[in-house]
Amino acid sequence: MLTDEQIVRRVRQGDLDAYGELVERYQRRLVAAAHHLVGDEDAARDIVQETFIEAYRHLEQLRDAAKVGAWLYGILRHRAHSWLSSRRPTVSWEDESVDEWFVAADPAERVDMTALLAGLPAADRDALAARYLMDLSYDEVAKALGTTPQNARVRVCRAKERLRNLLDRAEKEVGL
Amino acid sequence: MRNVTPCPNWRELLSAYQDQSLSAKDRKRVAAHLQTCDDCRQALAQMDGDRDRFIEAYMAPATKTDLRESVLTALRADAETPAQQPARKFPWGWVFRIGNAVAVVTLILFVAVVMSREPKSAIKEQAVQNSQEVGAAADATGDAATRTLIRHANGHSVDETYNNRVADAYDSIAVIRTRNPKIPQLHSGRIYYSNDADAVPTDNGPSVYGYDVLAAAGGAKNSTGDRSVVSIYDGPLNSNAAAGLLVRSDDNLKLAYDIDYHVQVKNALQKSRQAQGIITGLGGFTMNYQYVQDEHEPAVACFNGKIPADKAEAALAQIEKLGNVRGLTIAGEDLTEQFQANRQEIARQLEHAKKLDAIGSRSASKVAAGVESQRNDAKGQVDAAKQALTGLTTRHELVTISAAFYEAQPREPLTLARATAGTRHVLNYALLLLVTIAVFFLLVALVAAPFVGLRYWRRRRASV
Repeated sequence: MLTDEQIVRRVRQGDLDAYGELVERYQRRLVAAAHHLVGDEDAARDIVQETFIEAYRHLEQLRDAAKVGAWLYGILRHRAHSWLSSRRPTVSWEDESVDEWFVAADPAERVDMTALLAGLPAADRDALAARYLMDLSYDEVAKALGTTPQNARVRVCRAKERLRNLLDRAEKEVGL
Repeated sequence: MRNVTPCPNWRELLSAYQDQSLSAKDRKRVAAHLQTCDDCRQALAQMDGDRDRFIEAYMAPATKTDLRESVLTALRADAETPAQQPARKFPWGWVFRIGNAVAVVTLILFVAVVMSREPKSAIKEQAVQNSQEVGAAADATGDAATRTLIRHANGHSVDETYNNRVADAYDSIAVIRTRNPKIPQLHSGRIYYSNDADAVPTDNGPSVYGYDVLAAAGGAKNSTGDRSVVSIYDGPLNSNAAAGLLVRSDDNLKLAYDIDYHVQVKNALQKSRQAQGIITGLGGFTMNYQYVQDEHEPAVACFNGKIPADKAEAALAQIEKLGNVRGLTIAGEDLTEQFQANRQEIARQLEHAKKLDAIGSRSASKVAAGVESQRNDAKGQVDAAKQALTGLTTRHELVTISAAFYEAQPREPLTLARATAGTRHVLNYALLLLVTIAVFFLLVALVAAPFVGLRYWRRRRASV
């Protein structure tokens, strides 16, 4: 199995199929992260596709090929924010009835996580997507978010704490 | 499950422990703590559960994602289509920055130039006062022509142009000709004008312009004989001005011209030598050359010369090109009567000599010693008269040129006043340049704006 660095080197030599490998490797993580960031699954796929196209065009700007995941997430994050700023959400999560979150018979699965987590502040969504979905180290999270590793560690911790509080509130609402 | 709170200050360590981002030492410390602390252990378990639920919520739908082909298809199509420049924004920011900078500098220069100028009203008041003094002096002399001209000049503003001053000179001539209708037609109609006739520029304040109108021809007899001098006040400049008229000569008129030149040059020594070369090159000669350069005084070089009359115009034209002609006076001395008188005297002497010669020829032997002596005297007188006539003729044929070349400023070290004056000139030019640039920018922006806007709109629409 090729490493990220080897794939990037091949792509730079003109091997487009190698780029397909990179897409294969990161597309699901990126779609999950984009879904979390924008709250729309279809839009997330479009954003990820645009991210891959843009990344290919600017591949010469990637300095550390070993951190291509963090680099892709940086582009994705930028595109997701552009998408959000160009389109106001038609649904306000805060105004939604809690009942709409619960559709499954099993109370543990009745929480619609994607709808619930959309209520997190944008900074927390950024941190959780980078850490949990992209599986980036603190150094990479810091680079993607434009901050220091120490600050990234604190932000991830606080995001986890807010996630816990959000889940706790939802669980109490449904009587778990 | 209730929300478990970990021990104080342990939450961040637990988070990093979960993310496997702790150093080996801290990792051991947290592991040891977890062995003994139920709350922290439960909190960590909750954290793990939250993580799993979070990942599951987003990764599950994402597993069906397959963007590989769509991305590669798009990239292949992208590679086949010619590179298209992305729609670029028009750099209005730079236009505004440059425009602001130009505006600020222009404003500063404008204020500097305005503050460095003398109030115009003060100059005008001084000019009016001076002109009134000149008018009073003219009234005292009772010269009607002068009064007329002064009235004429008083109506002018203080910043008269060259053309207005020349027009004044023509007006002066018109007045003189009204009083003396016998003045012949002008020889060439040239008016020699300058604003520094007799002196280098000084800071002594306003003075009087003089237009010396020479009516040297026969019939131009007025208060000064063959020369009519009229002074006109014409503004506050620190100098005199002179305009000279060359009158027409005819066969009966015998004039001896005297040409007096004042030329301002950058290098008096060099230019005066060039002028001498011009005169000698045209068949004349020069004499009485002087070059003076005193401390704190402008350098001056002057000389006298004689040149054949028919070459005088050519010499004038060439000398004029050497510098800024500040003053030129052409004086014509009417020698007609002297010439005629000498001619008659010579004829009389010749007649007398002929008579003596006839007496001698009748009886040479009987000629007394006294008669012989008278005969010799008569011959001597005839020779003298011939010489006098020749002298007059020579004087008529040769034009006298007196030329003075001077530099505008003494060669002094730079003073604050001179530096200020120089700076003002520079500021004026800089202001003019900046205003030109600003107008240019404005025009370019006005012309280009519709085209650039249309292009930008098209690109934007294409990119959308």
